[in-house]
Amino acid sequence: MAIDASKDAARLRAGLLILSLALLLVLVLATFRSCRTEWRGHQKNFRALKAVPGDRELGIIQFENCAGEMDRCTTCHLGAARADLVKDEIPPPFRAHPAPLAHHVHKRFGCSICHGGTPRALESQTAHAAPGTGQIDPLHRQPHIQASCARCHVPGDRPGMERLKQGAELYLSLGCAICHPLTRGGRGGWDFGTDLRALGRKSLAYLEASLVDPTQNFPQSTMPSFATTFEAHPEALVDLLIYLESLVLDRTKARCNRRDRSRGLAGTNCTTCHSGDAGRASGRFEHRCVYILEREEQLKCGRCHPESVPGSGEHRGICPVIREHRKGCTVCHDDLPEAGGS
Amino acid sequence: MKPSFFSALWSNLKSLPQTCRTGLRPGGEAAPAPSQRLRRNFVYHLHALKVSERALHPLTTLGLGLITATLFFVLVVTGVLLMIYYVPTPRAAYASMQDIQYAVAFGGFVRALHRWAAHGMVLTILLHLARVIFTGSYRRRELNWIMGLGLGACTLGLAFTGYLLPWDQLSFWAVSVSTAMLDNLPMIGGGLKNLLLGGEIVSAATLLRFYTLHVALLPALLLLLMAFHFWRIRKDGGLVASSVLGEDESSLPAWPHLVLREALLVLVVLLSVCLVSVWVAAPLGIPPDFHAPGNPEKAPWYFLWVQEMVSYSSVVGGFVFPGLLLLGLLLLPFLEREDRAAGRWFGDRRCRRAIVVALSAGVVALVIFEAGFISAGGTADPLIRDIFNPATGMLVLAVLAFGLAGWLTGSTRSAFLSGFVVMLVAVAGFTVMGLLRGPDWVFYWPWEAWPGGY
Repeated sequence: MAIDASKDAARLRAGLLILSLALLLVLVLATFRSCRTEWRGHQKNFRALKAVPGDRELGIIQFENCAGEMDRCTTCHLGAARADLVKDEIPPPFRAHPAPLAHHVHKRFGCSICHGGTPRALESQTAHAAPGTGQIDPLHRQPHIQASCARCHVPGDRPGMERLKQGAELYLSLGCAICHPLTRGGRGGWDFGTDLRALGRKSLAYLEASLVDPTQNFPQSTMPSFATTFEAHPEALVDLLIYLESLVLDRTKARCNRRDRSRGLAGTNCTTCHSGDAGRASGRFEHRCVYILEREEQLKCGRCHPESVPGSGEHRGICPVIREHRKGCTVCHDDLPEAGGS
Repeated sequence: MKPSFFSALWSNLKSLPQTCRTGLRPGGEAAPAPSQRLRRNFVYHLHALKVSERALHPLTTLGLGLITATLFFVLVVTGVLLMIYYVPTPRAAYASMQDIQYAVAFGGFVRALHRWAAHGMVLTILLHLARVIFTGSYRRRELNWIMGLGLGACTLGLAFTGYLLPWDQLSFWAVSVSTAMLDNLPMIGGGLKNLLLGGEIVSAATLLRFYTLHVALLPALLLLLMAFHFWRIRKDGGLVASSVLGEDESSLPAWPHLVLREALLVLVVLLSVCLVSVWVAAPLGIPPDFHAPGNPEKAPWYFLWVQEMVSYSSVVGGFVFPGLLLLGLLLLPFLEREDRAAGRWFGDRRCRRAIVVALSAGVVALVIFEAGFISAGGTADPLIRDIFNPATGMLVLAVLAFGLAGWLTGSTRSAFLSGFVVMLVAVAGFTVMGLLRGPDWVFYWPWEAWPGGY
């Protein structure tokens, strides 16, 4: 393994040169990819339309909506908030909002409060929360947009959400609430209905499959199929779907449904790490999280926010404050045990 | 006549190039002679003037230390850039991550660089540790060995604190779950958890604490230890074999043969991490749901073996096994002091045979233990499970391998290497097991689909 000193140095220098050039190339590639974004392409197409005289490079357009979310949708949907862009002349991404917005003005509400999606994102797949992007707030289109009304309003208290109200009534009349009550922890009285309080996080296709053939999403499901009911009344299916999409209590997943396995799951030591969850079944309940909403008391949000939370006790708002509430347990829960809930 | 102000300024201005040449060069007025030039170069504080051909061979060290240092440099640069946009409060953290990912120019690229370089650094520092063990390079370098373990601890600490910062579902619950384990540590566990989290649960205080640790305390400590580590290598005479064995190989000047090789390796590392980051974006999970952890909620891959063992037994898996491993590592250079075949991969032939035996015994035992444990199910009493589980089994086997190899070969190096190999098989095996866990921590083969709804 004797090294020829002079040849070795020359070879090393050549290697350095090649690798430096390669690194430079990769960095140029990174720059290229970083600059050639989707929204820049849309803005270029918009300028090419010459819909707005003297239009120039706009950059990222963003503002904070009334819920405190950063809304960047109009970076691509350039015409959405403009009344002067007539609908028929303009292709879809730039088209003006079809209906005039009387109360929900764009500069205050933005797009995402009604339409959902990921308003901070600038790639269409992520921004529109396409399946597979891992986003939790699916995009709502007509007529499903009524699902978003329930973020702030009680179904039926204003005109324009008739289908949502219809869906809420179907939820009761079809008997959904027997196994999936939305109060009392979300589970049925016999502990076999899945917690549906965050069902609105699922895609429309998933929800529809769950109603028509429940075993498609959950092979072990014992829920009856509602296919025949909805074959006769297809519009009822849409109504119910709209209501299900409106269920967006802040839970990404139903909690583990297996209370009967009181001592850990499948022989593992859950309670070592999940002392607040599984530990509760073995009588070692710790109130791990002061903002936890697991106890079956009604929330007392109205004590501080008389107007903002609709209904009595059922928390279903966008209210982002609830996550940040760390004001002590008794603000929400009246009958906590003494001594820190141990 | 006194020179006027303007003429003085003019003459100084004229000699500016000369002043720059001499004044900015440390310690030199005139251009130094070539021999002097070497001594003044920073690189020669790092390396000896001459190195052996063995030190230049890529297989001697695999360059793992330098790769780790390069990745740390990448992490510092990208980390400072990320700090410009990142806001360490619960309300703003996830949103600022989204901003970095979606709206900031080069944000996704810099974040990906930081993420992949961090994974790479943990990997290479563990490989570096294994290299030093298998080549016996801790020989007569007890202090630097301890420094190296400190560097490893800092790196894992940085990885762990950095895991929380995105404040997504994964990071929130991974930190909640792993710190909840501390409650099982008698006496000091609760206090330690409080110190780490700034409360009973992961909260705003935790985020700020982890952020401070991640961007200030741990990097400063790591930098300090790293400088010390490098300085000790130079003071100890470079690679271990040359000093211990008194090698008399033909030696080459470090410039250009060693320095350019290192530059080449640095470029290879930068190139690979940039290439990966251009094509693969760093994942960003869903915003945290404080009410319900994901199922399963897994630790990052480098802690997965601990999580897997904890699912068998919190005492053995969480504390006894890692504690003994750490103790063994700490004591290694003090209890194992054979000079024979130092600096050589896997020692002499006897040693190699012991390693092969330990490796095969470890793999066979692990498969038997895991198969037995999984088929027996989780029906056993927790106290019995603390004793009869794969982690305890592998621990006993490691101690057995240590004693048997030492007794049969009469060599402390064979004993320690055999014990270490069994531990390594266990760690690797438990990591693989952890990767194959599905909902409710049930074992699934990679080709088996998880039940719906998860």
